[in-house]
Amino acid sequence: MKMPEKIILRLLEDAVGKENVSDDESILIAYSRDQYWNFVPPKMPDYVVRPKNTEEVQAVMRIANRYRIPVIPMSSGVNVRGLCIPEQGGIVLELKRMNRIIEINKDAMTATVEPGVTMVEFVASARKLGLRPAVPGAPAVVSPVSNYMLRGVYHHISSIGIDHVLSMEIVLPNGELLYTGSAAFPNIGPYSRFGFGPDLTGLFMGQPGTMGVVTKLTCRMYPLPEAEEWLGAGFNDLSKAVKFVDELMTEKLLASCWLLHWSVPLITMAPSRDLQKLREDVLGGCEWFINLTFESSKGLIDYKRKAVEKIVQKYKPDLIGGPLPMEVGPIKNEWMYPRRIFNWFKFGNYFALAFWGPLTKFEEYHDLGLKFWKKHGLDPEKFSIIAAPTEPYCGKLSYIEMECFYDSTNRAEAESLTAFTSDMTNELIELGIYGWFRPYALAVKASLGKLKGNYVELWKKIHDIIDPNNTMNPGKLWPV
Amino acid sequence: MQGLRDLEKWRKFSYLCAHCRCCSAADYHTLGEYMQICPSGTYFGFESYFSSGKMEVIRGLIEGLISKPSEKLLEIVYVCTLCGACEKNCEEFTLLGEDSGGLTHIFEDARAFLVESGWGPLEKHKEFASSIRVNHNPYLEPHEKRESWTEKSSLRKGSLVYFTGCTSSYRQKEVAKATVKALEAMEEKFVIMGSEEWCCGSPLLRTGQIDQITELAEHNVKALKEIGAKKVITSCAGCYRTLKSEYPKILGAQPDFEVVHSSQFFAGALDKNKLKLTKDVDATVTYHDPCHLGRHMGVYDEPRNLLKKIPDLKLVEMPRSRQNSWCCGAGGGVKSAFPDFATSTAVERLREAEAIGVKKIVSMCPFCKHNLTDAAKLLKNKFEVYDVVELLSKAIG
Ligand SMILES: Cc1cc2nc3c(=O)[nH]c(=O)nc-3n(C[C@@H](O)[C@H](O)[C@H](O)COP(=O)(O)OP(=O)(O)OC[C@H]3O[C@@H](n4cnc5c(N)ncnc54)[C@H](O)[C@@H]3O)c2cc1C
Ligand code: SF4
Ligand code: SF4
Repeated sequence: MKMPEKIILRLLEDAVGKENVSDDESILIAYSRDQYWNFVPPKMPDYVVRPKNTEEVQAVMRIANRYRIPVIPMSSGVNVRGLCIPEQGGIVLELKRMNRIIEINKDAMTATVEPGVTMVEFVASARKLGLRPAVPGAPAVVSPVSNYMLRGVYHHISSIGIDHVLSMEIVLPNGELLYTGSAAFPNIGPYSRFGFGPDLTGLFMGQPGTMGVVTKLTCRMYPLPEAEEWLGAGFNDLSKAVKFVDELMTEKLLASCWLLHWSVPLITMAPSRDLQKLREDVLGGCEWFINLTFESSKGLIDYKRKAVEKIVQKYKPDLIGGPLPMEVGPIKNEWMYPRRIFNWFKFGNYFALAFWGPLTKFEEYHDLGLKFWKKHGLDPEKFSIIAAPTEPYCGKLSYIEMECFYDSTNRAEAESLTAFTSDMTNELIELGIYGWFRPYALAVKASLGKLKGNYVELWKKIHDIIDPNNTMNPGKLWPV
Repeated sequence: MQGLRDLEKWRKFSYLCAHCRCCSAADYHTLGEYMQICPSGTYFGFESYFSSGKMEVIRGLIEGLISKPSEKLLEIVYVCTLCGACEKNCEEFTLLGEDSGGLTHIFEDARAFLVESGWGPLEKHKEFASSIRVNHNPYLEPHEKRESWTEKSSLRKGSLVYFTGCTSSYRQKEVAKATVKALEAMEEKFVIMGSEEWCCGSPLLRTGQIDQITELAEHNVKALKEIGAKKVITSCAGCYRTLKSEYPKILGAQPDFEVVHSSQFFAGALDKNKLKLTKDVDATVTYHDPCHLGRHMGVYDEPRNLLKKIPDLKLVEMPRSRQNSWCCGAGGGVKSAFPDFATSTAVERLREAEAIGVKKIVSMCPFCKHNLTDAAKLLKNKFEVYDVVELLSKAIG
């Protein structure tokens, strides 16, 4: 049913209050573009709607479903993949007003939050109780709900894995409510991932707003460690560096152990733009840098350091010391709730192609990436790649990211990066990866027809059952 | 069109905004907690009211994507207090912040563009602009009353000049009186400009109404020259910024007098023992950094040093202070055009003081005092609002 736009506007105003809806172009334009605009072209929504609670979200979803209006949920909008940019207009459902930390339960080691909560708020509240949540290496103004729902990478504590969600409250595309895990059971808390039957929490994760709106999320909490220490290691030989990290991960000695191209720690952590000089001064000119994070009691850290020392003796890094390249004070803060991370943007804009794969294939990923980087005329000096091996380290699970900073005002460079992404997306499937980090249309498109069996088709069918009118962020995942 | 040309130079920067939103929060590493920092974004909520969204609005104006001067557009552009809180967070981390030389310059140019295109400014801004033209002050007050706060005759010759400013002359006269008392206690020879003093032009600069500005700057500089000024003291943080940092740009030359804020002047006097504080002021206060003085001009320590030297006075800091200060809500033409929003921002500041157990809030700008006082009235006067110089004058005896 097509309804005149002004009537839709009135209905939305009735649902959430006049001051929380806008169809004014000077409001809409701020939702038309994000950091990834060179790759996901700007497009304005028709409305921005800011609900305060689950009931208001339900009311908006009913209107959208009845009149077939696209809905794009947005928690913080800091994603670096254009995931909230409307492909077909519609409603950007901005959830920042839903900003309650409903509970942090020290006994149950869980917390329940709404999507408008920021990571920094969450960390600061949890810390008062001696707890902490999983913290992504993203600016801490991001929402834990959208980040966890998309499964992130928690490099400060990759020893706790990638999945921290226990249960969710979801408003389905038709406005009905779904509770997953133990949240569906009466008279008990939402503290268990598994209710009975299939894992519905898992089914709704990793979706770019295409299956419903998460209005509450319950997640695991972790104790604050008694002590933290850092050690930096530099290598010029990549092969040796990979083996070093692999052995450390296998021995389970560290809270995290990231293998980084030299430029990455300097871009994100160091205060100056003169990277080559810093490379000499801080990293002794090494090409690869490994950040080793220890967390536990002081006594246990001493024990772990001794065990690490043996591995260090075996691989003999070209540089060892630290923490590098930052002082302990700032690094502690950065690990707790990142802020300096957006130093990245001091060098221009941030491009990344990220996926999951075994650490032991890292050199192959590197060589392939660099080959295509050069093929597309990109500056090899700017090519970086990182590996974040993550628990459970079964299959040597590792987050891999090819990345660079680039001049987003330079169309030619952006076009080369687009062509690189397109090629690499196909090439990586040929070489072998475990999966894509974050769902987006380009990755789905490249995977269609390549994945074995019915993976993508079944996913699409499940989506169509839940969102038969295709109102949820249409075009962001499945071609329309 | 001049306005568009000025805006066009920011096109590249509008493409550089990373939408990281780090400009929306005070430095949580320093504070240890999450606190909002952008008054307009916090109050109005939609992304366009934050600096990250405003950069998109500016891109929309440059690229012609925003086609009409809607009420919302004018609200978005004019409701920003130009406090610079976003700018301080952005400049530390991003190319946009570092290379643009300040987000607030971009926001001011957007206002000038709206004025040039006939879409702006707001009615209240036009009103004070015409008052400045006629009365040389934005308060619609007759020029002859500029000196009504003092018995002292003005316009003698002298090298030390007190540039009183419109707010201290017409609305916060106690600040002017306290300043004069402190100057007299120093036994300094000084003069006030009286009728030769015109509005410094700050309200016009901030609202994009730049056509009168050269005339104002020329007048004030000429008058100061004729008096024989070598050092000019201002009470108002806005006057200080305008005289010290904008006049040389507007006139293309450095005037041959030094401009100091009263906080700097009196802090220097105390250091050199030229001013004696003999009376106890038994109070616990917190200091509110005026945006024009702190973030825009980097003067954070002197007002605090003054307070610390007042006998018996205890200074306690609010969580958001210095670079992370929460704006009082009045600047950028907001007090006149959006009084409710301005007061609500000031109420949040008073509540922040209350949260640390302090009911006496001190600033060092009569315009901040003006707005914070309005907020205090709204809260049934539970709070007392002062300018630092008023406490200083109490300590003089
Ligand atoms: C410099 C930088 C470094 C980063 N490093 C990391 C890192 O180390 N680890 C990491 O995990 N991430 C990292 N990120 C990405 C991280 O910031 C984001 O949290 C993440 O990409 C999700 O974006 P968001 O939280 O802003 O969600 P949004 O942009 O709001 O949304 C992302 C997607 O989820 C959907 N969505 C949002 N909220 C809901 C909801 N309530 N219900 C249903 N669907 C919803 C949206 O429609 C959209 O498709 C980094 C980002 C930056 C800028
Ligand atoms: S901090 Fe700067 S770059 Fe980041 S969103 Fe704000 S204005 Fe844009
Ligand atoms: S100058 Fe102040 S009010 Fe304006 S956008 Fe920046 S933080 Fe917000």
